[in-house]
Amino acid sequence: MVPSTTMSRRLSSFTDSLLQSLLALFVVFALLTQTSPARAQACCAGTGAVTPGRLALHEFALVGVQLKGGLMYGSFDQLGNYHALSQGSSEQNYEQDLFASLRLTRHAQVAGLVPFVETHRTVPGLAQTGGGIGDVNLNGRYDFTFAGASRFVPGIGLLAGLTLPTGRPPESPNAGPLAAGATGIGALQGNVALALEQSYGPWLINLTGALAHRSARTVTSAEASVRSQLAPQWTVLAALAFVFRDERALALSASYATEGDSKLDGQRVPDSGHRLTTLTLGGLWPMSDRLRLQGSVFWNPPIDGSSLSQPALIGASVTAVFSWL
Amino acid sequence: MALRRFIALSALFLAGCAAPQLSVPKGAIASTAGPRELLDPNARLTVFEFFSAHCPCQGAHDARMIALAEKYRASGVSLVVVDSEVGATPERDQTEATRRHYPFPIVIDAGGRVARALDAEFATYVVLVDSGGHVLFSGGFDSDHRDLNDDATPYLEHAIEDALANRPQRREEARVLGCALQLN
Repeated sequence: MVPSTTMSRRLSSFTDSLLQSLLALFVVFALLTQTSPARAQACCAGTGAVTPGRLALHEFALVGVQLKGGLMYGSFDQLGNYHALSQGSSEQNYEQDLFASLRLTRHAQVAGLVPFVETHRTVPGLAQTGGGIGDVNLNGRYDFTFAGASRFVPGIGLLAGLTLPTGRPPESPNAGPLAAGATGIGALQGNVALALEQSYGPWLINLTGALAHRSARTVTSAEASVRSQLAPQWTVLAALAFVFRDERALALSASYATEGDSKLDGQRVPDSGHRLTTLTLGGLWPMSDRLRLQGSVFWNPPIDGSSLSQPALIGASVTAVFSWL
Repeated sequence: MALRRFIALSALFLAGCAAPQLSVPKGAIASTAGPRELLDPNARLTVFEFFSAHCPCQGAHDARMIALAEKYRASGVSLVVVDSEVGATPERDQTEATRRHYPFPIVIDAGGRVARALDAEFATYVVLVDSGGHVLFSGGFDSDHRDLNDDATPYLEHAIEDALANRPQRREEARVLGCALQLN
């Protein structure tokens, strides 16, 4: 029998990994909400399939809601080896994100996102469902140049964001025995990113690199308090989108996030780093000038070495965006 | 801004239309204007409208553009559609003009020089010029995006009416809601 403290620690570590995974997805989403519309159409293709919440050039503001569900089907160990879920274990993740964007100038826009996170987790003999508000994100984007404006100079955008620890961290006593009530990582996170994009007819290519820094925080358990800090996280995203004449769009993207070992009381914790590879296929369906629907499926491929110390998820999202011109 | 456009356009006119090095579709569209005709010296007013073959907003405004061109042709208003985008070819634009039933030519702006001279960044962006080369109005064709509304503000039509009536423009610029041009 596994001692309860050990089990709790494993679950906490596991939940932390899962939240890291969700955070990585969240960061990618935050980036994507600020990346360009497919094909960089100022009208029309709108916030393309690659980019749920970014304002198109002609848009003044938008609000949106994204419903997301994910199913854990395996995990990657500390060596990057993929393992299927053990019998009796399962996990389902749901998230509802409310987001809004506002244009400040032709080149600058700001956005905010409030996530609500729910988790249902089971292990042999135990099941728990929990959730609540997640970590709120605020971000901004400044476009120095726009895709398509020049044949040779791509669209160049600088992004910066701040994720507030408004969620419930995994070690919280209210997170429950399986930590299904955890909805955040407990740390303040700042990120910057550089986005390059160029359009060629109906095609759009996007390449985004991001760096996230997480603040140190004190983690208190029944036994002791330790100072914990996650390593900086690097994320690279590449996306290819195609816009049809009627403005419907499809996008395929791949992201790779990596971070080194975390620290406890200033000491590096061996083998605590993470890597995560995510593939996403997204689509956009404009209902009108002001309303568009977007959807995506995402997948952490079960390929050894593609991820490290992370759960393997497969999931989908549906997004509705209403904008003001 | 307007002064810069005026200077740019005046320079374009004074250069005898050779400066932009427009490549006119040859044989593809029978009535295709040549570089000199682009400026239409016989017209009282010339409208440059920047075109994007892929832009749904462009397609949405086709009927309105055609109607406006026909409405004001007798008044000496000439509409010149300019394609400054990457990938513009005479063959493709001939197909587009035919498909859209354009009664006016699409002129390919090789190098995007006309677009840059007139600050064109979006499809359905229009520039209204008088016979003296003065830019009277620049901006959106109207206030609609892709979904057309009966109560849209017809910016270009207002500008033409003001110019034909020899009265001050009620606005010299207007917001453009068309697609971002992918310039040559």
